[in-house]
Amino acid sequence: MGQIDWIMYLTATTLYALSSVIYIYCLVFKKEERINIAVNSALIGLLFHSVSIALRWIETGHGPYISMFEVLSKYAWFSVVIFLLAQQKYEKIKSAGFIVMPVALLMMGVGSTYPKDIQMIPASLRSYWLIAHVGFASLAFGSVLVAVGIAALYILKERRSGSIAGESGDADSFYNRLPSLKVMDELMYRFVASGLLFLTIMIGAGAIWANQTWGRYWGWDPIETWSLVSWFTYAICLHLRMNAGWTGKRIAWYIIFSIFVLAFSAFGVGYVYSGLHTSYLTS
Amino acid sequence: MDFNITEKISIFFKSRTLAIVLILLIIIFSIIGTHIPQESQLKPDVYNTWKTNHPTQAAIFEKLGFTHLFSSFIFLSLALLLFINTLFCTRNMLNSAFRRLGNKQYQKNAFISGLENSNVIKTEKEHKSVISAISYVLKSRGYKVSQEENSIFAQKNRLGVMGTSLFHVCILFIIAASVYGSTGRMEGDMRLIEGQTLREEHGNYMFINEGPFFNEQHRKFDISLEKFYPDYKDEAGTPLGPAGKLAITENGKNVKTGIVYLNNLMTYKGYTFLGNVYGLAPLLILINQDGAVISGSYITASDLDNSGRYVASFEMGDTGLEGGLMVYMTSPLTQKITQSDAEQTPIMFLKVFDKGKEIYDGTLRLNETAKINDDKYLGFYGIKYWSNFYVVKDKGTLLVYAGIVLITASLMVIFFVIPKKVWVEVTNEGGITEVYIGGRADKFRSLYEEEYYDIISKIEARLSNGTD
Repeated sequence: MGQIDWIMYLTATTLYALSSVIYIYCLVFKKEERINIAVNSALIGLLFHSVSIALRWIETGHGPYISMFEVLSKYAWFSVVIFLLAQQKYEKIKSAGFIVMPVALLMMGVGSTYPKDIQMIPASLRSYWLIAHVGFASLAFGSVLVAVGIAALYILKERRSGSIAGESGDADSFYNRLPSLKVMDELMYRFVASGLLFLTIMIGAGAIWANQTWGRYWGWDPIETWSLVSWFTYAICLHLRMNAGWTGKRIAWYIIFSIFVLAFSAFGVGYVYSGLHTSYLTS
Repeated sequence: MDFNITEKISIFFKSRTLAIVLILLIIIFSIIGTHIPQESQLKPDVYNTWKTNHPTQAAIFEKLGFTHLFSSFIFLSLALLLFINTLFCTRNMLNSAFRRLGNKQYQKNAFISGLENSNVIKTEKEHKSVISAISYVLKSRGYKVSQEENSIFAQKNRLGVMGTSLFHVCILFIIAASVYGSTGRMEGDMRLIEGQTLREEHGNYMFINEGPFFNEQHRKFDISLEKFYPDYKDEAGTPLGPAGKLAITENGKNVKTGIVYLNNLMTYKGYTFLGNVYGLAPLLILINQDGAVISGSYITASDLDNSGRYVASFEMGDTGLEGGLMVYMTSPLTQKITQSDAEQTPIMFLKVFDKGKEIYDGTLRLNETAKINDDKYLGFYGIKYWSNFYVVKDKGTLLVYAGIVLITASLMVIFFVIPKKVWVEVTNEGGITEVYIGGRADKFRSLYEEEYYDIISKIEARLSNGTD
């Protein structure tokens, strides 16, 4: 790995760490006014991160999807991008960074422990469908991670205010600056819905890639099965919300727990099972 | 009584709780299936090793059908139940969606006032100009406006009501397409030595699986492996892995030629050719002391441990001679891609047995001959590559792809084409015109507030100033 892109990577990681600390500080001490420092740190970190990815891309001749170092870096990048865009559109959810940024930092940190050697792209991975597959997997993870951040804020605000009816009464200024519980509930729904859409495209692109490479679009390989399990998990989430009246705290907890299923299918499957994807995911 | 049973069945199958229970069960079984070795996904030796090491577990799981879980009766039954459940739910959803699509829903102020987003605007303007101003604002925001005497019903993104039904139709379509594809599917491995031509028919496959509705529909064209490249490179010199140049001929005419490697498959008449394992095929010829050929053939040898050494056992026709060989190249195979790799001086270690008794153990280089008994010689007169090509015919694949595209589109409709409605009733009492106005989105209702109040402010501005 080149020196410059590694320095950029470390700088990005440091800025994400700073951003995470400030987000958590703002949440714990209810200092909403400092939150812009966290946003700016994340933004500057993202710039360094983008340059790091671009330099490595030029150096290796392929996108960030071959080694685990690249894969984790890519997931972190997409998560930060989606979060920054989301907080730009819905300004009041900035505090959700207290979940998103530490998770991005964790991915950067864990990624840095993997070998950073430049690997030639194996023949089986030379496909535009693979690029779509891994790109949409990252988008799905990023969207759901933002939903988790909002779900956590929802639970905190709900706990603080006791109930929707009582929210305006004794809620302090920090919680008042958050969107209303109803709006947060809908934002969770919206980000999970986007996640499900991206997961669908991810599975579709993966199926086409698998058919080109192995002659079948579905083979119940462990990672295929787990991606379907993740898809079902979020499909059930939306089903429960739309048809069974699961809104608010219940669905917020569901969203928080279900990201572990998605994270397992994205990062964990390669370590637990042997299969076609394994060597790629654990390299 | 019959009616009750039919109704009960219908209620049972259109239950959304049933859908969630079935999906949960499918999730649980799928996870079980990833933990228990699946016979169809493993090489036979790997699966047999697991069976030997875990005899009790293997016996129990095999009896339960869990070693081929994804095609087991229980899993297929769950999938079938989910299909029926989705079918019933979809029928209901479609009925409801079409009903909502066709309805013009004018409402009175009692309904409008009960909406979360509702306002009453009072103005001295006359009834007609009020209706006209509101219609103008709503139309400018992309609403389709219908009006009768005192009421307005405006809606936007009305096709969004079809999203959920379309999504479920797509799920049914994908399941049906994959069932159609798998029952009419054919897959097999065809082994070709460089220069060899085989006809596409059942008997020429090393292994073959045909779905119940494939019905031996082989097209019987001819496939030749013109050349095999163990490390194929493109024009830019990028290594692309092993590749085979295939040619297809039909009725004596070359109809297609292509190089097959990973992610670069070749298709012809619905058949897809993918690269698979490959190896070396030394040509062994048995001759008598007069030089007449007794028997001879290319022996396909495989590199079983990725060591670069290719091994095979063989029989020499009906001579009763048999043996084993190991062949390798003295220089790396990957150096040349345009010339024959046979130029790279292969070396063969050979053992020959006559009725179980070893009669020869030695080394042969290309074009060398060894005397194996009093009147027979065995010659090593050539070497070529062989490759297995995985051949698949699955008519359902394109339908499944279409289903994936449609399901993606339907999700976009569900989450981005949100039906929005505005109801207005205009009343006039004592010279004051009262406008009852309310709006609602089918989803993300809280997020709709911003758009709704923007509409209200524009209507108010238009009623007071005559402009937005």
